[in-house]
Amino acid sequence: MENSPFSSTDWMRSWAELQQKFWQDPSNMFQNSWLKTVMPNMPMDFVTKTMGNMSPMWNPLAMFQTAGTQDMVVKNLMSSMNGFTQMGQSILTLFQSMGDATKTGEWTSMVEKTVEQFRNMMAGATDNPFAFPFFNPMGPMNQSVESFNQLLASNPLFSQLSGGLPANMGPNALLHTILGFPGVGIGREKQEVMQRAMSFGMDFQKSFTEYQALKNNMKVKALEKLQGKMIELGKGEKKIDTLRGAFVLWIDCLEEAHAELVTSDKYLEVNARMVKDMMNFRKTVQELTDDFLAAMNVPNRRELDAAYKKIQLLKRQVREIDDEIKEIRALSGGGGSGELKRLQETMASLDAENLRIDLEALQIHVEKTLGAVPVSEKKMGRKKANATKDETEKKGA
Amino acid sequence: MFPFDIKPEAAAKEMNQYYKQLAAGMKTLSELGPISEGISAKEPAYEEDKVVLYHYTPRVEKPHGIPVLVIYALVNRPYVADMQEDRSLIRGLLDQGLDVYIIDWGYPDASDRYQELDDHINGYIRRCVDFICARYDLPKINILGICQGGTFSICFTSLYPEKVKNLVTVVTPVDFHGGKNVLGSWGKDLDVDLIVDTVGNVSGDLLNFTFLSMSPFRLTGQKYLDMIPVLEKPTEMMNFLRMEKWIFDSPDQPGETFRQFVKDFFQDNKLIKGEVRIGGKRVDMKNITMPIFNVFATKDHLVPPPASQALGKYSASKDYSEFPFKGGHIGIFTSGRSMQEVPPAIATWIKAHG
Repeated sequence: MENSPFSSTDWMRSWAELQQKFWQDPSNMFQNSWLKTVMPNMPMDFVTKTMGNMSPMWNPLAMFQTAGTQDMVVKNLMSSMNGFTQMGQSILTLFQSMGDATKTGEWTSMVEKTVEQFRNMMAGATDNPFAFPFFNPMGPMNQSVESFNQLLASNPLFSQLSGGLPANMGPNALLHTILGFPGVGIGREKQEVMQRAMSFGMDFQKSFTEYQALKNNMKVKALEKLQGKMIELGKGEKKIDTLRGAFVLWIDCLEEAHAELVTSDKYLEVNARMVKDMMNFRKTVQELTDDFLAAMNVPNRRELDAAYKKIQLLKRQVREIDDEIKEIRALSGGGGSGELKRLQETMASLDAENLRIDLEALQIHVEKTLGAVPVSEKKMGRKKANATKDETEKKGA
Repeated sequence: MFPFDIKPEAAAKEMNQYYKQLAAGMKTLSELGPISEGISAKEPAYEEDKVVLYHYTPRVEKPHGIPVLVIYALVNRPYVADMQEDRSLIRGLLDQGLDVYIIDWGYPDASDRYQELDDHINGYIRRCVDFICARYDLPKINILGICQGGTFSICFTSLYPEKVKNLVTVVTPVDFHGGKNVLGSWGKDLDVDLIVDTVGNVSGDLLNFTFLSMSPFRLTGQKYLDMIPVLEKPTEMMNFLRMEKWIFDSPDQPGETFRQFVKDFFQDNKLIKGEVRIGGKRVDMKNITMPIFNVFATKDHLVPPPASQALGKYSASKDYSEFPFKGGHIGIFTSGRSMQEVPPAIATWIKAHG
């Protein structure tokens, strides 16, 4: 195994280092006084391990790690090159050790054996120390449970209570039950939030473990694909004669296995659950942080959010008013007395002068009909503007 | 037959070559200098909050009379459309005689967390369009939407059809469940409310992480190994770095906008159902009756062709045409072939439609 090109102990480890740059968060980001101050009663070992498992992308402090583009390129180049070099060395060593087997059909059984070893290692059936943190899916979970056990052991009250719980209750269920106990006393509200945070943290550890297990299984699938591709290639005449060719073949296998994994229903379900548990944990830690900052009379996230929400509403209102003012100005031709001007134009369009003359004529007609003195008659000295003779006659003037 | 035939001497030579190139590359990297963000001359024409409407300097004496407003996505930065001299959709459009504007959304921060789609579409986009209309004394202009910006363009056009002369969409999702869409699958079961309530704005790093996750081994490893042979070539290296910069230059997404976009568009696919509401107004794609030119990429892994082509089915335009580009979602902006095909096709179509 040690000399296999597919071994986890040499080139693949460097490859893994590169991947980890993107996929894992250095937990020491959280081993700082800030978190210890915020959560003095929470077991820091648990918190740092749990937070450490969060992707850097969900970690608000990860931005400080981000390097400049060129710096990042150099680092990525070096990591890629390192993995590539080690893979090359391993391949050459392997070929040497295989000797004549490469000229006979014996190589296929050697590959089969390697795949089987890898499969066993992923299942945890090996004492390879590297397998523990990277391949053993229960690793992080065991660590957090251990932290809790230490916490409980140091608390006589919990020890007493746990003795009264069902004997067949597993450690996780037991911890969840204990963390679900109601708080008492003046600090009960905060205590419950803290318990909830720890409970969410455990949920996250569990779902993250499942997530990692899927990823690890994917690597086994990739290796099986590599085995298949090698056998297929072995049937033809074309051989891979460069290290880069071997490297690309392996990447192809990984990508194929990955593509199958991430489109599977199982992955979608586990991924969604892992993100949900992570969010619940982070949200509760944020609550604690906010409470702490409020106690220190320092503005916190909650207060800033409330202010930003209000500002956004006010911005919208101001812009609506601004739009309305612009609209009115546009309609009024832009002048300050636009409203009046618009009314005058409306009046003009109604032909108000003619309307007035018509009304006066109607008034005379009514007065005449009723036998009254046509007082208004003397006003009829002028003709209706633009009216024809016929029109004037028709109206009885 | 054993499928490998890697001779130790050849392997050593290969390794040696890589290391030589890597060493030479360090010198190149140290001498490259800053990486540009877009190459075409432009000046700010209108600003509001962090949003800037830029006007590109026309490259012909008498540009086309009706300007084109490019609406880019909130994800990543718009300079992908103007990366370098020979890889610029914008430059192509300018050279074809179009008068081009673009909305730069800037970098939202925590104070923008409560910006909604309403603020973007009924707010910023509408006011940018009004500004251009007023500047040219025109009732309507041409809109060109890219990716998520294309979806915004469709929403805007549905809500304000009287302001849009022609609509051009480029790699734009319409039917969010159309085709094999990995991003859509991942978003399907996510508790977006919990995410936004927890993190507020959704970080650009998270989005990058998501995009890298689609092809992690190639994008975080093989890509850099493939780069080593070009390390000695400053021009090619700068081109690579421009792309690298663009990929990781990712603004955060305003939380409320992200919430609505993922829920209404990705999860519930409401756009094609006519159920999206923005600022209380219903987005009805049947209001889109003006001519449409839909450019999509045949190998698009983010917006599969069926997701984009749905525009023809769900809009009411009687003048709908498509332009399939043989390439991917990013290649449509960065490949040499694309520059030969896409800008001329768009410009010719716009000019033919007045």
